[in-house]
Amino acid sequence: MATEIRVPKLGMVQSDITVIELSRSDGDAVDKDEKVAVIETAKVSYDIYAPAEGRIFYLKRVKDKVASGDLLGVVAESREAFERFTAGLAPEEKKAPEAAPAGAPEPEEDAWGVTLSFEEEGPAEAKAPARPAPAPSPALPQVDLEGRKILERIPFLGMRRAIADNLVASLQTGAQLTIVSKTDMTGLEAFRKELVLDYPDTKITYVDMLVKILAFALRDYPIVNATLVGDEIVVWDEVHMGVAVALEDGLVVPVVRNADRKGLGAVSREIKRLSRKARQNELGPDDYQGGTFTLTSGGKVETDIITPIINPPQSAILAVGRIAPQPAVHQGELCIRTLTHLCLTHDHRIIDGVPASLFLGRVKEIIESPELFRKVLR
Amino acid sequence: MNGQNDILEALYRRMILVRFMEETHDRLLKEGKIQLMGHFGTGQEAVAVGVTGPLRQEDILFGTHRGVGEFIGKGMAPKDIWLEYMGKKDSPCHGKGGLHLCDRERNIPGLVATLGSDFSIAVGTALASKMKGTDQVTLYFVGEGTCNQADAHPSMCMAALWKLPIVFSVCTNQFCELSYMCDHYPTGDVAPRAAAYDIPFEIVDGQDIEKTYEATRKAVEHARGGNGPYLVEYKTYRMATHFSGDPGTYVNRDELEEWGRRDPIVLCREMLLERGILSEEEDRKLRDGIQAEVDEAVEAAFAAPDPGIEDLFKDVYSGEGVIQ
Amino acid sequence: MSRTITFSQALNEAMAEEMRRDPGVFVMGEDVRVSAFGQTAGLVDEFGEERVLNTPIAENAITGAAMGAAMSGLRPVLELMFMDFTMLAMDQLCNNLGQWRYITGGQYTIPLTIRTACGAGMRMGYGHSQCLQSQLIQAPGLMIVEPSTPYDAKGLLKAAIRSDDPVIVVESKKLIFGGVEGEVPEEDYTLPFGEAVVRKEGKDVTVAAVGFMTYEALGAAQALAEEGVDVEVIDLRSIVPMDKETLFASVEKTGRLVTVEEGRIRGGIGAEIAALASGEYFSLLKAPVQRVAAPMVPIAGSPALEDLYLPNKDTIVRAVRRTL
Repeated sequence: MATEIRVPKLGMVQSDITVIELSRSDGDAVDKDEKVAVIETAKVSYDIYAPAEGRIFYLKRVKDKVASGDLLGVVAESREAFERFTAGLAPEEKKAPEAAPAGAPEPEEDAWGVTLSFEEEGPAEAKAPARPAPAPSPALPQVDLEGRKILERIPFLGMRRAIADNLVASLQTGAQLTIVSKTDMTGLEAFRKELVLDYPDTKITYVDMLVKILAFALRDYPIVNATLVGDEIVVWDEVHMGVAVALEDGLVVPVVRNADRKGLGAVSREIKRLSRKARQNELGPDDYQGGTFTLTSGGKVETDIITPIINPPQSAILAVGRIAPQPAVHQGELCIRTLTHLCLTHDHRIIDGVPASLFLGRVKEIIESPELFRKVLR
Repeated sequence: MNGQNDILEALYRRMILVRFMEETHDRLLKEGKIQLMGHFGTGQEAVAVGVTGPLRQEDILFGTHRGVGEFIGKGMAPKDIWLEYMGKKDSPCHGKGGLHLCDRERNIPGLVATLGSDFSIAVGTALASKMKGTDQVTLYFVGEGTCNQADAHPSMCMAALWKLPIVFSVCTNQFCELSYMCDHYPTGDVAPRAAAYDIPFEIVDGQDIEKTYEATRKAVEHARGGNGPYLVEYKTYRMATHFSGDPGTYVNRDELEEWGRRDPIVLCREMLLERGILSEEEDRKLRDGIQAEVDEAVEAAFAAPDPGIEDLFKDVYSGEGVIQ
Repeated sequence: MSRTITFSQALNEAMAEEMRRDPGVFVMGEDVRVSAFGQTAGLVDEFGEERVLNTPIAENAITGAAMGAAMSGLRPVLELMFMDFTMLAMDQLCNNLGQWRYITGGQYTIPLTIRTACGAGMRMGYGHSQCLQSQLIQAPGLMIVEPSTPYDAKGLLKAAIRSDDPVIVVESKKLIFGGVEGEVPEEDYTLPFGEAVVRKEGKDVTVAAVGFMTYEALGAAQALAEEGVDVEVIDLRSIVPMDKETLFASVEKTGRLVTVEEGRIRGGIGAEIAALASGEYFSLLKAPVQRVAAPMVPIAGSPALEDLYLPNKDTIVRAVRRTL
């Protein structure tokens, strides 16, 4: 008797899954619900548990690429039972040979050739855009490790690899340019302190406020909230705001759905919940799918200007630089104000310079006008 | 208490400190420098200081809203009291207690606003001491007015039923808020109610610090010895009105004057002088020193910072923040 | 491994296991040794009379006593037999219990669990049948949970006992007397406060229910399914704190919200949820929020009138239809 362990269906991600850990050795005794492996997608990693008690036998190796439904291993009573089981398997389901023959490059290993699938990233109605063929990779200089001092070798797999692939794909498929607007946050800074009394159960951050302000401005400039689908620009009638969350070893972009239609408190609580889930590696597909625009912030780093890379299939992203007291001219006087830089990258294929500038100007206008931001932030 | 001159002198010192603290509070109110209304216990110092005198640091005290007597008696620092009264950030309750003094280090768990609520809370702390097997005693200090709260009865009942280490100290000061005790009681004494629960009781002169101290010491020993609760009623007189600003139109002036002749501080002073424990000169120096201590504490408290918005939402729950 | 036990057994196991785990945990209340409804039955055999403490009939005083024991570091589990009786303890519950930590600036915590049984349908008449949860949600510093399954009952009660904050665990009498059964693991577990659970997924209307009303809501969902209406049923489990995320994630999906509670409608839990919905999720709503709750009348002795008073499957169905 043998119980199969298959790669689970992980929401929208059905491929580009990597085995990153096999927790036991072949033939080890395992308990039911004991962790036996870890797999990782572009976004998150998942623990795999033994479906039954018995001895574990793996049919995949660490670093193997797998897809949902693939046979990862088997829990069997004994090695004989395992061998009986494998005898009936199709050859491709049997364990791959120990090492790939030298010189035979696996297609997935081609650093520039892997394209990420974004078909299901957009809102459900979206159809997959026709992806341009990946550009051939430029020849990279060979690195000889022989005799070199190495501090650490970090696997370029899983989330790390996915981020890389995603960014490369983004830069290769869009006509991206970044425009920057210096913005006076002094009023908003004071207002944020006032809000402490109104929202005692959730600390309102700049990110919370910017999500609301951006969502409001996107309603005025809907073309910035659009996706290229085949030979059409699809302009969304909903604002799903991606909010970049930096992790210790990567980055995820969970999505605040209908950010334009929720109150500031609701947005704030949701961002906190999503960040918490992200840090605990518990984000589900529903949490990060379907964003229509992304906000990323430098956080506490001392960076003023950022040229963020668009998160496909979206067509724009806004980064907020350092927020700090700086010299400024305010009402004709030189004085110290709390300033930041709003950096908007847009895909020129979809959004021309004028609407992009107008959109960014609108965001700046709201941030600098107490009358406007009080109306938007409620 | 014969031969215990040091104790008597220490109690005298505390009584003066209590009187000066309250006089200073009254003056600051009249000068408009402090906002917290005062309920002063002028004339009752021998009770407040006498009942707390025999307590150990680990014993638990529940006090009343009337003045600072028992809190000073249990060892609270004048500065902490002013910080609390002024609502300052560095007070033991971080500006949240106000009149409701609390000092965990001295085992003063706090002061309720709904008088008599703490009758049963004190029973609970005594219950915990018994269950944990410590030899702590809880002293529940209460005015006779509050003894008409319904919870007085089940509280005495539970204390006796479970034989808890608790002393009920009833300060009968003749007034229940703005009325005389006789408007509230068909009897002259409160203490015999204890008999209904088989709790031993005693009624003592509340003006004589030696008597209040000694009666309480006996009661505390009884409780600490595992013999269950004890009730002591102290007969005294509230020379202050119910609250600062109460003109006291209902007070019989002849009676006030008569009790004034038995002011507990005056009585104790006479005893100390008579016995040669203290000279007139030493007494003056002592008083000057205590007033300076009070003034210094007031100054320090005025200079201390107020709490801010970061404190408004703190300590509602053990975790961070507030649940809206 | 899990097995099937009743709601009452789950509560009993939670207390027994926590008492075994922590010697500071003890049970007190009226008749807890015999146990009128059975939740504490048998505990006295294992833990003795010291840790299963029968109290006098005096709700406010026993709540105060439990609070005093809790502030001394013990973890009492107090039973207030009927939720109607919590009104006798309102002084402690609303004035002191949840506020003590705050007014003492965090010097004292109150790790007290209070269990109380609510609900009508037992033909017990006006003062033994009410659901008064909404009377308590105004008090700061309290947590209030209401399980609807044996699994939740055990997990939430254990979490309450381990919590450093005062927690009120509301037990529906219909679940106790109805002998409701469910799967409960043998292993130790607790459930976090403030996590609602989706009992049935649906896409058309969100029904947010409390306690026993979850079953009525599931019945309504079944009936509405026959009309082609796909109802999502959310069991709130925790009233304070409330799981706004789960609740409003569902509303975001459906755009329609019906609240269901057994307590009365005016100022109820539903009113609170509706206010939240209109304050922060207004433009996600496709229809006005509907509240299902009891009317503003007392509970009559007549079974016929009692049945008319109670919210049920049919009233929920009608409320859902009003949102379509």
